[in-house]
Amino acid sequence: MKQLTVEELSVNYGRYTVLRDISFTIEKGDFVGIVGPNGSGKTTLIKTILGLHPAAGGSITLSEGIRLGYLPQLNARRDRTFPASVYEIVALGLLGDKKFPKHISRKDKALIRSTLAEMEIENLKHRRIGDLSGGQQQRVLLARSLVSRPDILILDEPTSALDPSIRDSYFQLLAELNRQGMTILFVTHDIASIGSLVNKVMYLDRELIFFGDYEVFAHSDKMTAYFGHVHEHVDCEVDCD
Amino acid sequence: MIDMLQHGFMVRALLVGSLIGISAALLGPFLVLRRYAMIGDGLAHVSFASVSIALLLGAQPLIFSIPLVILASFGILRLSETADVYGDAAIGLMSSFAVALGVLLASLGKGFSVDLYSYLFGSILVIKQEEVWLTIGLTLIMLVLIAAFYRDLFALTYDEEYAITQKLPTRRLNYFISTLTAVTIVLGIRIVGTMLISSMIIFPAVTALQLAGSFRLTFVYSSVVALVSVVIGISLSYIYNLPTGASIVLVNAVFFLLAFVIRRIRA
Repeated sequence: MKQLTVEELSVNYGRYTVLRDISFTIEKGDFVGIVGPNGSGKTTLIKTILGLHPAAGGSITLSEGIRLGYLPQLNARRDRTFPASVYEIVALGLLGDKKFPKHISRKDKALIRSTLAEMEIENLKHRRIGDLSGGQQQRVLLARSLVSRPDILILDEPTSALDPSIRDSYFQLLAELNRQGMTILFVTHDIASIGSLVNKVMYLDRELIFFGDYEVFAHSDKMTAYFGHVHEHVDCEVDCD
Repeated sequence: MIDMLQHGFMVRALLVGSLIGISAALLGPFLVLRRYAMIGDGLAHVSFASVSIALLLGAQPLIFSIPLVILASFGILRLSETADVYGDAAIGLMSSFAVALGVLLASLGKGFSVDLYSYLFGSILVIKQEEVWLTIGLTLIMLVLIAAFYRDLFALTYDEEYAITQKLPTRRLNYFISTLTAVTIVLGIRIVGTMLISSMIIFPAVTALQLAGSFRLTFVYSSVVALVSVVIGISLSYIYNLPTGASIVLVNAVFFLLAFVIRRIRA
């Protein structure tokens, strides 16, 4: 079932084109790794999908009733000093669905409690976010994204600041969410670390170089053509002498 | 203390001071956490210019200043939004322009320098009954508005980008906070003056941030610190014949130091 369709999308920063002619479709239950070099437009793509950046051309269509969840990069400086409790931050995830005066109902409170339990951070709910470890902070922000029960979860390099052991448990959590039917778009600079999780890969370099099954990705003609000069460069460095 | 309350001007000062103190204390965390703390200072300088214009024209300074300072706050926002000027630089531009204008007008209207002095440093003796009613009315409206939009303002303060993904009207909320700040600044200059009004926004908020474990508690602590500082500051100024604004600010500074030390001990 189609959940998100992007057609001929272009995005500019001023006169500079960051993304050109991007088209793809996301199906329910997809776990897509979005990869590419620095400055390739990965974050710009998801920010445009989320409405944080305007598109210069093309279209983004969400199927009816599909809701997006978003987990941005960890803002270590803000989260170290901000005077907010875990419970307060997770409750922010419910604001988008509410009408004025945005009262938190008994049902909402139950939803927040169950999300905290799912993320295994119920015991931290009264703690100030700045007093938590990076891994715990990231779980809090994931809980904020999940409390409204989105259909598609979009994550922007959420594990880049985490220790490898914490990162693995985080990946397991995402795999479980995906098994439960949640579609996941995961921006990363390190496809190898999530290779076992994703079923599709999107490779961007200001245009869509590859979009398809992970198994096909490594052996695709397109990727071989794209990386050809890199292989030659590496071979030369090893063998030229 | 009871003796102090027998004077009408002291009752008016305590009432107006407390209401302004709480309004400023509730706006403080939103501004301080978004690195917009100095907007209070900038708008205070604008209010100096607008009071100068009002005195020159013979208009009521507070009523004349409110719309003008609100416009200036919008100008600061527009400058940082569209002209690629950093927020603090936009405040600096507006602030220095306003002070220059105020000084120029003050030198032109030689006859009103005494009045202008009372707006520069505040004077509880000159608060009029009409200003008391204006302050009560506007601060009560502001308190209701802050309570009504508390969750939206919290979301905006914590993570503006995430607030946009939640379809919150972030731009309108920014203008909303600017409007409330401008009104608070203008009403507050009667008590502490244009030179010190921004400290009523910054001090209670920064003191509360030393100790609060949640966003909600930040507002409770900030309001309590502001209220107690106003009452002690005005009382000290009455008993020892000290300038009111400076007394309030120095009491605030003592509370900040205490909170800072407590935080260091806890850590």
